[in-house]
Amino acid sequence: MKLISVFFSLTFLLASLGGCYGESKTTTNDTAATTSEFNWNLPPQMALPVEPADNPMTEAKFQLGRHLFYDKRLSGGGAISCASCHQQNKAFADNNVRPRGGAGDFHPRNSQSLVNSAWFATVTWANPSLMTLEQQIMLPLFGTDPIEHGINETNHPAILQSILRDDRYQTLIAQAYPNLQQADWKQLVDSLASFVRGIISFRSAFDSHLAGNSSALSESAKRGMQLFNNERLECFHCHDGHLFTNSVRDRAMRVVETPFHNTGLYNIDGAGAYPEPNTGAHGVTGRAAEMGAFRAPSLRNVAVTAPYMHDGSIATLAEVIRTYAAGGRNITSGEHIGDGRLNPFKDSFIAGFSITEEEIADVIAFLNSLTDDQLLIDARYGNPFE
Amino acid sequence: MNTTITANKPATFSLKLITISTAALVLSACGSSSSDSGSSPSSSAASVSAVSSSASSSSVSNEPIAITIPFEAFSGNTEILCGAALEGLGTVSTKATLADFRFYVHHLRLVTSTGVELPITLDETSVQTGNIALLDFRDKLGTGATSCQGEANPTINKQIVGKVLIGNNTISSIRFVLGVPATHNHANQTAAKEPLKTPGLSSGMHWGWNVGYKFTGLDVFTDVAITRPGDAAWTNNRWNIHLGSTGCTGDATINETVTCTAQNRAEITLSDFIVGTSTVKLDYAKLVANSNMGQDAGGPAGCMSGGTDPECGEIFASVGLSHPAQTAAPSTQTAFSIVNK
Repeated sequence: MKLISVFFSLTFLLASLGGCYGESKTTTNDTAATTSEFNWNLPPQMALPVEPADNPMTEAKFQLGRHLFYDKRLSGGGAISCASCHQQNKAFADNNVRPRGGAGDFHPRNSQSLVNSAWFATVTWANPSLMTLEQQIMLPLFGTDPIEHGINETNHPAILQSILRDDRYQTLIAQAYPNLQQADWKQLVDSLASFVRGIISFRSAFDSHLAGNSSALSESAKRGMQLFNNERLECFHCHDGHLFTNSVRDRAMRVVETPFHNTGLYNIDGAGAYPEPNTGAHGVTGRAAEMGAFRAPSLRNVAVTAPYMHDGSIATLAEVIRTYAAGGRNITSGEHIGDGRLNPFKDSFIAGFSITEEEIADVIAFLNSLTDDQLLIDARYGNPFE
Repeated sequence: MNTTITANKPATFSLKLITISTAALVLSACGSSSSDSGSSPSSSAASVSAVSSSASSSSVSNEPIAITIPFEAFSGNTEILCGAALEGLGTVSTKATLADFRFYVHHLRLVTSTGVELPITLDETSVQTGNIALLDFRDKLGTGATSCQGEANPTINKQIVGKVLIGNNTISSIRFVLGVPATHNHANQTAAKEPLKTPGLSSGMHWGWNVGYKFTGLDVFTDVAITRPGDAAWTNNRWNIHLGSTGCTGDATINETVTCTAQNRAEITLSDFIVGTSTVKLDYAKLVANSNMGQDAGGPAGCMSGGTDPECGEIFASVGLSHPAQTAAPSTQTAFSIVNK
């Protein structure tokens, strides 16, 4: 059967409803812009990410958002903050197979790293229509399936008031929104998005190598980089470019693709099915060809974000590489029996390859070189309450 | 280069919307003028007298008059209330209690005996905005496993209030669309006016994975576990009916047009409508009449509108919508009716 990979081409429409909401006047950069009120502090090869027209980046919103990100008051039971599942020393992911919400619900998917998400064309594992952090943040805060932060119709006024009455937040809000009489959830969500959008990571050994430091990478990592980028392993097709994902949007791009890929992890019915509720983009679009199609995550800092895959079902990077070498995963026991290698919707690049143990070690050495050790401890992204 | 955009203020925006929707109504009125919904002459005559009395005038008004449209929700003969025992549901006589019971309606019109549509302009209230209303039949709040078991619901709402220009016309029907219109379905929900604000009245009606609203949250806890054929490990106890648009792509907040491959907005037309007398009734038992609520063949339990959700065929048919799981085109909706007491 023909193997299918699905891409959407989205054309920017300049005239739309977007500008009608929010504050009475907004300033936006066009796609060729190279300026921002925010100091992105990027390496020269990186184009600026898109800032939403009604939520341009400012340092004051970033700082307000940083406080909210670490504040457990932003939850129904007072036990969960964004940082509960997005931990700085794990590159803003966690090490759980699947995280748990404040009411005890397991999330069906593995926590993703938030690092460099400013550039992601879509921001979740499998939703083609979730394209901004502002939209995504609504889900953990206010969603009910699963309950994560558990902010609901009963408790939201008291939670908002606990933030607005706090002296520290009054100062932060006044700095972020100097002309606003009364802050509301929109400002809190926008500020959380501004903080997350501002978490950037370009200080790894690999970045040092890119900048011309020929001793930044070990010989093993250099061999691993060659393997990563060659046509035997094919890693780079999906884990592409400076962000090591092909789901990227920046201001220089006029056509943005939002790809999702089936990597042959499951095939529970022999016809390509993935176990519910993790059926990939198919779960949103209903299109059969998108069964099991998930967004390729960025591999920056991947060494600290185990376990792997959308459902945390592979524990180590070595096992991930072996799974791809096999052309998918053949599950021979348990509840998800089925040969994912034969999944009819599998991406054509998951064709399998031969690889030695030494080569696996080299690829892992390269992946380890993508860890930005400063990011993991940088006070700029740290908990302001500690 | 920087471009400065001056956006409309909220008040201007909502006025614009009303103008646009009125224009659309006029167009649709012309388009449907040949169809007659078949209301009986006697109820039409009663309608005119009801209007006259409520307008406190013996002459026909050429001005819009205030109109209140009461709604009620039952499951068979049992009124929808938190804790009420709903029995005899679907094809295997399932018993259930309420978890959620809310739905949005918009684009309300009265239809004359000659088929002309008269738009009802909804008042801007805490539960109505932009000609959209949230009807909420839960007497108690709560989420998750304790849905409908918490404190009293202060925003319970069983009516729609607005204005309509009836003039000399004889009213035979009421027509509305179930759900949130595309103009509002993909906008920023934290900045929206009630009842479209999250967190707020749309908490729990915020449909994350499609970036929009659930048009309906008609959910029950079944008294015995729902099973899945061929999967002994699968179980659930909540049967949900979440109508909404699916297959949506694009993001309005970054200047993109959101398009959905399946709009799933049901237009409901109910005859024998008498202004000032009629109540619009939703019968949950009729909504699920052809559904087997004891088992779920795939996807989330109940119908969550996905194109491959097997339980959506019967539910969609009950509100007159097409769905890929159906083997025949749906006929007229059966879930809503008019009660003239």
